[in-house]
Amino acid sequence: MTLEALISSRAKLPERLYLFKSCVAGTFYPGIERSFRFILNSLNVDYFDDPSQSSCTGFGVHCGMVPPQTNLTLNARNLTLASESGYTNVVCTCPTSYANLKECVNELSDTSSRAAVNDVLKQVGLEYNGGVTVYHAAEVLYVIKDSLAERAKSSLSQLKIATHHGCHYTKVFYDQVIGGLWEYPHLLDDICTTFSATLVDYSERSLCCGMGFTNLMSTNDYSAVTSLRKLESILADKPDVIVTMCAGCQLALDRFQKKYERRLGYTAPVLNVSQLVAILLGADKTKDACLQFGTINTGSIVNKLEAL
Amino acid sequence: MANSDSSNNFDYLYKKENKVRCLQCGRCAAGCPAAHVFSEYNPREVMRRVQDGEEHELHKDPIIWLCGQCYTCNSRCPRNNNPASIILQARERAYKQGHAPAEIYQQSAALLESLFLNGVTVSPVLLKEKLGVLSELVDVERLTKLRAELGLPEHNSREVPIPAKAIKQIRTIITSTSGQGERANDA
Amino acid sequence: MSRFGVFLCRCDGNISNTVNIDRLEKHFSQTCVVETDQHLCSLQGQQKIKNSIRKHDLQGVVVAACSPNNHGKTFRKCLSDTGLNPYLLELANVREQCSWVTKDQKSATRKARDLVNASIQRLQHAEPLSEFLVGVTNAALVIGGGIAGITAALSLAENGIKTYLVERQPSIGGNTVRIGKVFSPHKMVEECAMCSLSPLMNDVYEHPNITLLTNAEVTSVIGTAGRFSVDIKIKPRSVNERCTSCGECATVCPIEVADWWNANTRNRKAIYKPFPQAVPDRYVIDIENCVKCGKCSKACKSKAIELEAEPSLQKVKVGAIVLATGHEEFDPSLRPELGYARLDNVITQLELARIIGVNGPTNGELLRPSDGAKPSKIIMIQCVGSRDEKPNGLHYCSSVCCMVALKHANYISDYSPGTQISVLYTDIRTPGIYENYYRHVQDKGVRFIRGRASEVKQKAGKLYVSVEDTLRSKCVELDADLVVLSTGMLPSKGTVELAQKLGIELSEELFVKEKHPKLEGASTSIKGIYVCGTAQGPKDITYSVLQADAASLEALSLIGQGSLSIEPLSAFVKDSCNGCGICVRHCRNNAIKIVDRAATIDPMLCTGGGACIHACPTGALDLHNSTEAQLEASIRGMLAGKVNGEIRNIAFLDSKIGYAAADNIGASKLQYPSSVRIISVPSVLRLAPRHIDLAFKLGADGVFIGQGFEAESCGENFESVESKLNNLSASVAQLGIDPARLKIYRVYIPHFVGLHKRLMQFDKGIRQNDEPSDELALRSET
Ligand SMILES: Cc1cc2nc3c(=O)[nH]c(=O)nc-3n(C[C@H](O)[C@H](O)[C@H](O)COP(=O)(O)OP(=O)(O)OC[C@H]3O[C@@H](n4cnc5c(N)ncnc54)[C@H](O)[C@@H]3O)c2cc1C
Ligand code: SF4
Ligand code: SF4
Ligand code: SF4
Repeated sequence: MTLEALISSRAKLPERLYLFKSCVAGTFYPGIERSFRFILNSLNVDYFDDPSQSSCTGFGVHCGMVPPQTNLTLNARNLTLASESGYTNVVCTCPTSYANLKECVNELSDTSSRAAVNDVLKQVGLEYNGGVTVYHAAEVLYVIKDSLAERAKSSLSQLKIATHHGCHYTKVFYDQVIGGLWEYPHLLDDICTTFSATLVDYSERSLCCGMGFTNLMSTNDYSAVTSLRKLESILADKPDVIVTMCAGCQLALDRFQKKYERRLGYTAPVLNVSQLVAILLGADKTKDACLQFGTINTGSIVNKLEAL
Repeated sequence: MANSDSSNNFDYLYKKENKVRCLQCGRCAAGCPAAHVFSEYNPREVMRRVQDGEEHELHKDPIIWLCGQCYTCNSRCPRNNNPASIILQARERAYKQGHAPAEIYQQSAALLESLFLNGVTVSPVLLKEKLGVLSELVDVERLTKLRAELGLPEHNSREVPIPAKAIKQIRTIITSTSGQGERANDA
Repeated sequence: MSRFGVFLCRCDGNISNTVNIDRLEKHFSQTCVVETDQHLCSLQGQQKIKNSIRKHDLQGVVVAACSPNNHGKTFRKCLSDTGLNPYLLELANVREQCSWVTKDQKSATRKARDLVNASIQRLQHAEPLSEFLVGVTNAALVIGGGIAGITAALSLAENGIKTYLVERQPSIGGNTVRIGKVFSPHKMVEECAMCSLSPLMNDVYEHPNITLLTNAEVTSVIGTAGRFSVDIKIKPRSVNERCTSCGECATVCPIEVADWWNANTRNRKAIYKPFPQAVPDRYVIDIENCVKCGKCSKACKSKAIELEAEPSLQKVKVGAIVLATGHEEFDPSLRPELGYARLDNVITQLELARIIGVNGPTNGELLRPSDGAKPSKIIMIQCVGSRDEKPNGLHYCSSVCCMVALKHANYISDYSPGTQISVLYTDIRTPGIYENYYRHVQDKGVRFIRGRASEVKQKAGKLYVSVEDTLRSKCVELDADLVVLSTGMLPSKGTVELAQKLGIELSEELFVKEKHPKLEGASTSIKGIYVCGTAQGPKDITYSVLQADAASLEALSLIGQGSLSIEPLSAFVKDSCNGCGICVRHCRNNAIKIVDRAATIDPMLCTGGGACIHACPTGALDLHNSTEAQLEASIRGMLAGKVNGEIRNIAFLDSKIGYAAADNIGASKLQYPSSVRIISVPSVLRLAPRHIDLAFKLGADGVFIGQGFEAESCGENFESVESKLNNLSASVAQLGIDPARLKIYRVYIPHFVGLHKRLMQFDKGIRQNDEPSDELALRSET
């Protein structure tokens, strides 16, 4: 199968979605998940918003703090909740959850790992039996982008947009990226152009946002230097908004812009693609999209939306 | 029961088959944001050390805490190596054996507690001085205020908290796979 | 004690390290004459076999050694040398399909024992057969008119062989035309490729023994070595011999198309002449792009244009075929981080060759694409797509790109002095005397940085290349005006398509596989078909030409034999035929005729696939050397001695591709469970439901059918083989067999890794008692 065929074979709207919640999004940008729900509701997509699911623990895993077997077993529980509910298409808004859950699904196809995990799950009355597929929310938006555009109440024709696709979406399972090859993904770009946006390309397109897990909490320079490098490149052509698909990227790009506002000389608000699409569909900017959580003021975007 | 050396059984985050085939081509290093910032960090050199049989020594070297886990190295390597996962494994080993930096232990205490209590790794309450520089970067006061305006809880990242029955399951799993909360659960 | 001889080969440990030969010897000594040897294929080994046949007056021989594809002929000759009919030989493949694929000694020994046992059982039903002679057609076909095909055609023609040269493009010349300059191992200067090529092309055109067919493609090949019938489809050129090459037509043609001959660096018209020295020296209309406006017709004073010309078909008969279908470049837009197709000033070496070529887009001046400025800093990036295991990457070294970079660096240093050139490399590969060239270019001041470029970025109109200077552990961003990618070489689409059409084996990399990588480097898996040039693997002109000479020599010696002995492996009619004629429809080779109310089979036309056999309602047909009795004996033998709880899975593989692929699994030392037992059938069409049923009745846990061959499957096309196989599995299901226990796998090309995965998965599925999932198949085919 050619790569293109593979991409298009994956580019089908999965049915019965299991919404997988992110702790970083929930903490810093509650509008991401609210927006995604708003979009699914307005298209009558069937989904399950299960409160019982735990964090994927990916944040802790990448910091070395969560033992792999804890990660695998907790996620086996999460995946089991999905399969038992009949909502077997797990959709993450967080690329780290996406990659982590995919890794777990792969590992759990190994019979001995599965047996070890099921040994523990037995204690809580569960058994993992597979049958779950993992997606990222932006993939879902990508495959329904044309129906979304039909329902849009406003357009992006007045906006110049720069996108950043999270590294844990593009670089962990690089061969499964849809919308372009992993080194030059244009999943977000394609969604934005469906709403008539103008895109701004930039040289550090594949650079990390700077989030860097332990580094974000530590005194070393990784996060600040990397984020600045990224931002300087993004802002060079003065986009009106930066669109991401990861709460962690949004956090880094939003807060470091604030921190280095003076040095950068120009700022652009940062939005998750779900927030952007939701406001285009008429979501409430404060209650649904929660734009007020952005530290770089998002008012400019709202002003430039062109009513249809 | 805690597994004493998890890497023996649960090394799935760590792709090992190609490491001896590293070309030392430096494609990983040239794209690595950490190597860009720190002269002492270089994923190609990490791979060299692995090839030289030092992989089980890596955890003692503080450089492993410089990687940003961006996986650029993974996506660039022509031999399908994944230095990021080697770092990950070293971190895990370091953490367990007491070689991680002090700040990591402080932060982990907070994160793991949150996971144990509420089933979520990151939550707003942790920002109150528990997450190092991140707490400084985020305007916690503003965040707290905005969350309050929407009626969002302060201690939990979830709008709808995880039900008690589910929390119990989560705690059982954490305890039996890591030993955390062993006493708390007994009680 | 039977008068069968069993000869066990140790193969210098290759077999005996895993298979306990002493044990086998003891075991079979109870019923047969047994001998062992370190190397049965050696002269001494052969002598041992012959002596034993004579001494014990043997009636049949089993040789347990390597694959029949290696030394089957040698051992047959041992029999005929002693007067024993050579078809009274059975080979047990205990190396490729046992010792090399099984780690555990016990299981390997047990499996070897069963394989030998099955051979003994089969031997009891062997029939003496004799080969017959057919005449060889005194003509050859060369497919592909690059430097390799041109060389091969000329050598054949020089030796008096009528030769057809078929080229897809409107001119011969191939990639050598495009590369412009060539490196020369002795002189430190670049020679002009056209200067060597042009006279050869003219020789081809003028040679009385060569029929040149350009704009042409081979659509089908049937028959075997010495007597191939070939169909060639010729696209209309739409410009006849009256063309004087004046070029008036092209000036009026309104259609512009990217010019392949210039690596798409410039456009040409829909009516065009590929390049000034093109052969045939005539204009041509690219009918895919022509809008038939007729402007050219009006402009042509010689009335050479025939807009309404139709494609034609030519049928030729040849004794031998030489494949020289060449290579193409790796598409660097599959590595978007390097900027190709996004950033104007990132080009390939081939495009650079066109830019510095006199007929190129800049008439030979070194100017960069974005603004036509002269680049002063050039960076060359090596190993683009080569030595790369990422999706769509080429796992191998493309062999020539280091030399190509050196060639261009040297040329630019000479003709654009002052240009700063840096070559970013993984390893510089300049084997043999090519190292001189490397030293020479170093002397010229070209910089060599050891590191594989990670990314090419453009900031404020300037290019920056991220690379680590690994020798100094320094990550740097180097600026450049022009970045040149040394892209890898992969087999051309034409090579892969044709190989599939002909059913010849391809390597894992999809190059045409040589019959023996060291000893028969220009032969393919099919007798009478030879290969040369980059269709066989990445190589430079020198080696392409050498291999072309080798291929033509092979073809010559085959044709020179005048006649060939043909193995008597055809279908035959037993006495119960009532002349109903049903079988006639099942033979696409038209080998069956009804004469005097009974079928007769022409052994010259029959390719021995056996599709007709179970079509016959009275069971009157059978197949030499794969008779019902022999096939049944194999099935029985493979399942004999199965103990309680043991799993055995029978894999029926066609003897050409499926079986060879299984051998390749062994040659690559990939392991699979010893429960898998392979039975070779001439074609899977030989199999009837009763055979599958028998296998299950005798205790098989699963049956796997590997279909890898279309051309020899009684002339059937792929779809019809497919539907026959589907019918087979439907009938098997009707017999009450769980369909999960029968799996049919298509081996499109002998991609043995895919077959290996399938076998493993099938075996695992049978063990886990659930249906093997299709997921893996999908993944292995991407
Ligand atoms: C950029 C670059 C620079 C190079 N420079 C040098 C150099 O300086 N010196 C050197 O020695 N080597 C050089 N090489 C290598 C050289 O190009 C090859 O070794 C040579 O071209 C191989 O010749 P070939 O005849 O085997 O294949 P090709 O030149 O590829 O010819 C194959 C021919 O077969 C035709 N064909 C394909 N499929 C079919 C079909 N199904 N039916 C009919 N016709 C078909 C094609 O149209 C083509 O004409 C270079 C390669 C590259 C990429
Ligand atoms: S990119 Fe891969 S092969 Fe190259 S140095 Fe890094 S790990 Fe080794
Ligand atoms: S994952 Fe770590 S080592 Fe790899 S490129 Fe990113 S920062 Fe560098
Ligand atoms: S010849 Fe040189 S550039 Fe080409 S693949 Fe081999 S090492 Fe790389």
